Amino acid sequence: MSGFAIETFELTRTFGAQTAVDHLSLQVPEGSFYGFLGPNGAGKSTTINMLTGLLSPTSGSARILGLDLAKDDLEIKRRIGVVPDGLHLFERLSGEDQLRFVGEVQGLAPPVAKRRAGELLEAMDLTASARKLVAGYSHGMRKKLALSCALIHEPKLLFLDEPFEGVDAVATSEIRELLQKLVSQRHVTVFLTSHVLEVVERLCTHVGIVSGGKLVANGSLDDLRRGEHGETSTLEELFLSRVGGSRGDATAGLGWLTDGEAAE
Amino acid sequence: MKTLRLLLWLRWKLFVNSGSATKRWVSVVAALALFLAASPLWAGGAVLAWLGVQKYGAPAVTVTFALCQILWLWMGVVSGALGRTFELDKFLRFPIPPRSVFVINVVASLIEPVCLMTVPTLVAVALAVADQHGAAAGLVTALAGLLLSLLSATVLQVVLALLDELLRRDATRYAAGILLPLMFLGLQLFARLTGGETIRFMQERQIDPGVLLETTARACMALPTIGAPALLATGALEGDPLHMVGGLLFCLALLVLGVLPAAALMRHVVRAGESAGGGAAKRPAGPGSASFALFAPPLSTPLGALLARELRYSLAHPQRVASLVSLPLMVIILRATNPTQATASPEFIVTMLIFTVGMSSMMVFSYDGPGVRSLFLLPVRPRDVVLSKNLEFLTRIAVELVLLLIVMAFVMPGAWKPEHVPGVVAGLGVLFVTLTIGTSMGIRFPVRARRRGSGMKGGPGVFQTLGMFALTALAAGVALGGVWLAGRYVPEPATQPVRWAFAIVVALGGAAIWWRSLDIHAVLVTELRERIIAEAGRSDVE
Repeated sequence: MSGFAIETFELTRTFGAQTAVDHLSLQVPEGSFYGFLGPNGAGKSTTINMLTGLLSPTSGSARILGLDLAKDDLEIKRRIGVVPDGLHLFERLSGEDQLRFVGEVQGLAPPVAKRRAGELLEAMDLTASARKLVAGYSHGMRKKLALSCALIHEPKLLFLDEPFEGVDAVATSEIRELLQKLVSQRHVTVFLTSHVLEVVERLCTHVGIVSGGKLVANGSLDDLRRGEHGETSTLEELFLSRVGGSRGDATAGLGWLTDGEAAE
Repeated sequence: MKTLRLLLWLRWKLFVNSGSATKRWVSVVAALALFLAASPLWAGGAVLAWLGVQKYGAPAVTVTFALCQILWLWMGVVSGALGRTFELDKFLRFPIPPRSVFVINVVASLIEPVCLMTVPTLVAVALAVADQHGAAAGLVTALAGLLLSLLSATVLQVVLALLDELLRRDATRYAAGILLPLMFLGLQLFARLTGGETIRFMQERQIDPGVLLETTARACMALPTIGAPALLATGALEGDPLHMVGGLLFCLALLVLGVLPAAALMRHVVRAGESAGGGAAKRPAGPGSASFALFAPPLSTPLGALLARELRYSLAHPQRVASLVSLPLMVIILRATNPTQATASPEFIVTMLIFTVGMSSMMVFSYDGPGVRSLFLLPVRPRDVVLSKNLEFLTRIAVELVLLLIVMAFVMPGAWKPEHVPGVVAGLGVLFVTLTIGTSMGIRFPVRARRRGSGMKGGPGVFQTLGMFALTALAAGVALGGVWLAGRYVPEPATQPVRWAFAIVVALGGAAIWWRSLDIHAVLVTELRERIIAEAGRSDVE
């Protein structure tokens, strides 16, 4: 093993004439809490979709947990857990069924899958809804269920696409604590995308920033925040400086809204 | 008016942006072809309406109006009830009055195919009246026809809103999903059975059709949405201005007064929403969910779990449950209405089964909804995914065949003779070929089943579908034709052995083709997974 949970080599994905991910080469150290940041449309979800086997790269390659993404996709899927963008759960299964199904497909013995499903539902405060169809779950409940599905088989690497979006503050705090324990005690690698920079700043040890499909920053959070001349910046300042920063006074044309100008 | 104009613009833009220009033209050509294919219905209706009004006058006008409205409501409910999603929910956040959306929906209904089908009949009625009573009376009748159309559209919208209210809950949706198709089949059976009896009764009692028409027309006049336009038309026909004015005002009052409560009902239905009791419906209390390892062994653990999930999903979809009994029910209808051997013979029924499974097998990823994406995130081989779906399909076909045999044993005792068996065995081979073709089409052109009903989105175009049917027909022709030719031209005593040998070869050949296709389909699924996720994975719930 190279010491990296994820390594990509010139990974590229185009959709027609549009290049969503452009020759992305990054390394995510094993056991790190990696924040993958970028503005809307920067290529974050496309990258996750490629790394989890949902999308084929147009060119380039990747190694996940030391395995070749193109050749060992089944073995990779056994070792990773994914909370994808949009969640995409089986609507016509109950929460408990969903977890048991995923657990059994991941190779757990049925009694083990059942026990873990119950424990995860309890931990996520979903026990009361365990027998309800997922179609009736709220967004936050779906998010927690998707996270449970990603965790049931003890993955070595977690891909979490906006895991806290739509989740209440109490659950967010509990999930955060759980993820930190996984990283610190079980040496699990977490690859997380989020638009909430405070969350990333609080949780992540490493950060990658993409803009226009290209990697514009990659490394440990401390190194990146510490500038070339030793000055320390916040993650927000770093982010804005790397993705093009401020667009000037973008709201200048909205005087009718902000300055109380007479409406037409 | 500005809101109405904006909504009309929106509908137009949605149509224009719904696909490529080629696809739009193909759909226009397909619609025209369908319209021409249905010409016996609308042209026949127009001719009958013309003759009826010429011979019987006002009662024929009323009864024609009634039939048009019934046809409209019937077809509208059958095609739209279960899969309907009101656009109103998309406008709730805007300051748009629900009645504006309702009015747009009513107006849009006027260009629905079923409405267009009734236009020639209504025009024929107006022309027949003009021919007998002058152009002015014909014009008033045409106006009555237009008002009838608007009233029918209004009633249809109300009926659909009521059905939507009914179908909000999982339990009622499930029950309706099974009961509605059965009810329509049952009504057809009832109509076929009683139609002949009615004619015989009329002949025996020497009842004049004119008298019957008049009695029916009187009953129809009692229904406001038929009676009001009919009063206007018959007033013109009989030169009675009081009836004309009364009918016109009645129509306008119904339209104005009908829109307000109907719009309120639609708003209520939309605001009640899915979560009011629908998707969140709790399952019946039980000892706990069953394991997914029901079939492992003999199947591998992932394949067994996949198959168990497929079977659970199958039971969760009322259309798939209803499809199990539709063919047995069709046998009952065919036998009851047309007892000749030709339309109820085992060969005919096997052929029917082969063609009905073709479309069904095409829905290979359709019922997974957003969960289809999860299938590609799990450590399962694409071959196992396809195999589990095909095994679920074959399980349903096996259940359908057993039900079919039970029904045939009751309604067609003695129909199955030993000489029929080779044909059925060869038919099984064709079934495997059909399953192979359908699966291939389902992967290449993913179809999305709408959560709330029988409708579907996406899928192959007209030419691909026709191609699939042509291939199925070719396979069925070769297999069943071969068995038939062997029976006809191979001399005794080799006849039956040759027929059996041919049938077994066809059955094994079909099964072998299907088994071999699993690897090809697995590669195809991997290559096309993005399209499958994008097309079949979208959900009405999202």
